[in-house]
Amino acid sequence: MHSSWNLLSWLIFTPLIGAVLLYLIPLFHPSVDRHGSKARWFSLAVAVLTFAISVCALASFEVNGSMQLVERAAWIPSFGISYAVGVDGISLALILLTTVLMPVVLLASYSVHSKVRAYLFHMLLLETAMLGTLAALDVFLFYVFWELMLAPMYFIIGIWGGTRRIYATLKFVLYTVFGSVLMLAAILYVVWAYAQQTGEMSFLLSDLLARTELSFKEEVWLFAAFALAFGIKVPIFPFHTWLPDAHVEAPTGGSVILAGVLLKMGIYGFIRFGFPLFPRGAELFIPVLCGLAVIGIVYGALVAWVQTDIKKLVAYSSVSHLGYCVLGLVALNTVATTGSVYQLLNHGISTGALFLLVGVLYDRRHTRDVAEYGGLAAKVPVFAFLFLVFTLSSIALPLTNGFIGEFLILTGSYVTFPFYTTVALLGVILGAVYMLTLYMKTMFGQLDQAKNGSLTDVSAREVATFLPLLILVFWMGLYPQPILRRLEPAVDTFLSDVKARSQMLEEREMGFMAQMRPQLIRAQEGAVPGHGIVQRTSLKESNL
Amino acid sequence: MSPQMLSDIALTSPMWIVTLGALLLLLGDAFTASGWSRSFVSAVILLLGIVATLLTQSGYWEGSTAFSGTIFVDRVSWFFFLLIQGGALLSVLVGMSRLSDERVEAVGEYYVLLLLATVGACMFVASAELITMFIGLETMSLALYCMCGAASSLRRSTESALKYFLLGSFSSAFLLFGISILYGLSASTFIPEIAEVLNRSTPVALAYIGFGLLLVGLAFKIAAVPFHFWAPDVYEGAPTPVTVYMACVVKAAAVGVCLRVLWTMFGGMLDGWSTAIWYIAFLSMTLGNLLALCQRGLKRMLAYSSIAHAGYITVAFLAPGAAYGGGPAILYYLVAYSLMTIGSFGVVLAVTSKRAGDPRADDISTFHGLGYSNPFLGILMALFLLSLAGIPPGMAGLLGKIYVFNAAMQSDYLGLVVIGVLNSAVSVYYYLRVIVAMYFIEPKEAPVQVGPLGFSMASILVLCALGILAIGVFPAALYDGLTQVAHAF
Repeated sequence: MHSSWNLLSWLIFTPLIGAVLLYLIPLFHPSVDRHGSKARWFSLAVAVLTFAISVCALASFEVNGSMQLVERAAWIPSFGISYAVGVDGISLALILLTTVLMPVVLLASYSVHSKVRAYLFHMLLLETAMLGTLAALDVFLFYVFWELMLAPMYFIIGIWGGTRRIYATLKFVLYTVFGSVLMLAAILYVVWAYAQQTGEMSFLLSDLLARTELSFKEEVWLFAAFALAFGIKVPIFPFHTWLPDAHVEAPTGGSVILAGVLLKMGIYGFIRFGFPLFPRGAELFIPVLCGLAVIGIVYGALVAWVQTDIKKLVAYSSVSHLGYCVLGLVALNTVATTGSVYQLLNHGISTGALFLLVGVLYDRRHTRDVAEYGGLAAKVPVFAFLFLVFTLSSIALPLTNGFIGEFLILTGSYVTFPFYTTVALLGVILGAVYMLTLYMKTMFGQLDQAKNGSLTDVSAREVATFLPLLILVFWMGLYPQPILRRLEPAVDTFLSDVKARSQMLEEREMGFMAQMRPQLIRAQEGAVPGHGIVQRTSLKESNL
Repeated sequence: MSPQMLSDIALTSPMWIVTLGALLLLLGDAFTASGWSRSFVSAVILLLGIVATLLTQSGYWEGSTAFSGTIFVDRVSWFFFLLIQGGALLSVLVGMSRLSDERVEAVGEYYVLLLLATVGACMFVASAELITMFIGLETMSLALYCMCGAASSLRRSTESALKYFLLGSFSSAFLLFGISILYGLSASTFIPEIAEVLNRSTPVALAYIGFGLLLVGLAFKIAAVPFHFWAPDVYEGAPTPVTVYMACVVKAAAVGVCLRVLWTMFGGMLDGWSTAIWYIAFLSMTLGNLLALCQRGLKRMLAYSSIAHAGYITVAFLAPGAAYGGGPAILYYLVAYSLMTIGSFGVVLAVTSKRAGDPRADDISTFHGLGYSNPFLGILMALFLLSLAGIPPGMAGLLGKIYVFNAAMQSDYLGLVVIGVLNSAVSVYYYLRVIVAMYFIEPKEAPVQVGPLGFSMASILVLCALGILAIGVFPAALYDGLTQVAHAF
């Protein structure tokens, strides 16, 4: 379906336009707009507008597994690079998560006091990068947006972060860059293979999927390169060590976006690119990914349990929760993979909200140490209520969104990996243990810290930030059907694509071998050199 | 004069105009008192040269030679004339307001030398004959040696001039020796004729020796490992406006000559030299980046980074001509690199020139808090550094790398591509460290006094930044043009 409205382009670039306008309109200059309140309102309006556009995209989205709202234009024609965007159920869901979280984050930006305009600029630029990453259908475009997510986050942590922000932000960037440059090499390799086979270059995902033939060995290496980039982003154990540092040092808004959206990009990358492009390579890695996911689930939970810093605790809980998403993904059946995507949304909402709650506490007391709190429930009841809801959502209590996601993942993956899933269940219990322990230690008991006596409850603005998330927790927990209905066809398409391409590659390779065998035997006897080798060298010589 | 001669002179007018301009400037400087802007006049001269290049485009498009076959009048020459003169113009404009701060006293002579170096660089690239090439090289180099020592009251400037001179003459000797061997082999100094001789028979050992010696001389000029040792010291010691000039103009000219030598002259011996180029690329990228990691002085760090970038460019030498995309990739990279270098060294110039006497003026601590004390320079420097690192929104740098690595991939050099991308990941650290200094660290002392930038410097920096965004986001037109240029190979 071609869109005549360029809806997705407007969606992607509206935040960018807003970000540029922040600097072009003199009204937002710090000398006029002393506290940045005008800039705040403006960027909030931009984010809400972006949300409205994404709702329009949702409205014009038909429930089936195809790519929709597709736009395509040549960008660098001589390289077959195009500006191609489109959405299916999975990317649309994640886009909506992004556009919902962004206004929330901007509302919560009141805790940022210095350089407000620059903060808002980076946030909006980041939103463009995230939306572009989720909508890109051209591998090169995807890579550009993927890398574009780096710079704004780097500044957000580096400028507005905590005391160890420089260490944390450099670690975050270097980890991510290290993974993504190898992905770049892999992308170039795939395009090279495509050019060898078709005689033309293309970075368009659909072209690459349909016509690139790779040997099993190539697939394994290429998938490994992609998996490293995505695995670092998820983050999969043992590549997770950047995450707690980045989360602890990031300002509240940065943490929310990092946990809420950026971590999802890894799983999304696996679904959109990693698995479909290299199905047989992926198959080989499934046991590894599955094992690491389960280790991540249990390890993340155990480490979260012993944290004394609330933010670090939530960060490690992310490692654990994302493990479920990986587990559901690699199970590769409709139930588990749908659950995995659903859990991505849940994690974005509940963990995002938990980071916001930690931010609320930190704004008031400037500490995140669990020992500094206790008995807050009596003093700040509304806060305690909110904290409870999102805690329960995080530990997947029935009626909340988390339950649906975890249930689907575990039901689905039990079919494929009974043993691993059983071990992963341990994480469910541990999750309840560490989250409820945290709740108990901070909210219940005696109000023994004198400083906590003067705590004020959440303000109206803060309630407004939590309200959309609160509604989503219950809505997605009670009536998930509208979302699942849109996810499932996309997941089915994903699964059948992976299967079909795997078969295609298998057949081609077998066919190639059968066809080549006589020649190869002759080549070994010294009569005729191998066909492929002849072709490549002659190409090289003919151009000199 | 014969009509042939006249048309040759008309075709090579870009070089003549700058030469004449330089001589007139020298006369004017000698016979008039100060009171007029030498920099402005030399900018106008360079601008006239660029206009002449643009006007004579049709003459270059066919591809022929001038002056009895000694000068290539082809698309490659045309492109490099434009790049060299453009780079020279930008570096004149970016540095003109800060020459006296940089202790350059003889401003008139300085600009005369700069113009002559530009002519030499043009001649170096356009030469179709090895003696002409050597004369071009020496014209450029001798002028540059003097320019490096232009701040004669500063020890480091004199030191860098002497160092550059000694090592440079050494490398010229290698080049000359290579030329003489090739002459002995082929009884000709004309590049097409030598290429013909080399192509006719299987290469003999002497051809490799000649090639090797030539390569030493050229690798020295592009500052590729293992002939890079001069670069950090000279880049650091020379007055920063000279560094800007060297980093963009000299590197561009030397890369252009490498293209001619490797692809045109030794094109038939690809299998013979590809290993050598492979190692030069590998070593330049790796050592350049690793050594840049441990620098505190920004000029020195950027010097090492320029070695690494020479390595990236060298990667694409392995993908000859337009067919594999090596040609346009290198040309695109040069354009992008010139913009990034002029920009980044320009910012360094702006920040450090008020303290030019202090050898630690370009220490990274000088940049602490620059993003807040001077947001304009901060944001531009951030863009230049991101582009050098190849991270969006620094799109030109990213695309340059992708073009180069893609060309290498298309010619089957997977290993070098992997090494290259890992290197660019390493480079992110030291580029971002400068951003850390500018934005994430509160300065302990009062922020550095930058002083007013002046219109020319500010506008050139903005122009470089806009150029990076423009050729990065909409590269199609430029790339297609460069593909046409590269068809000359």
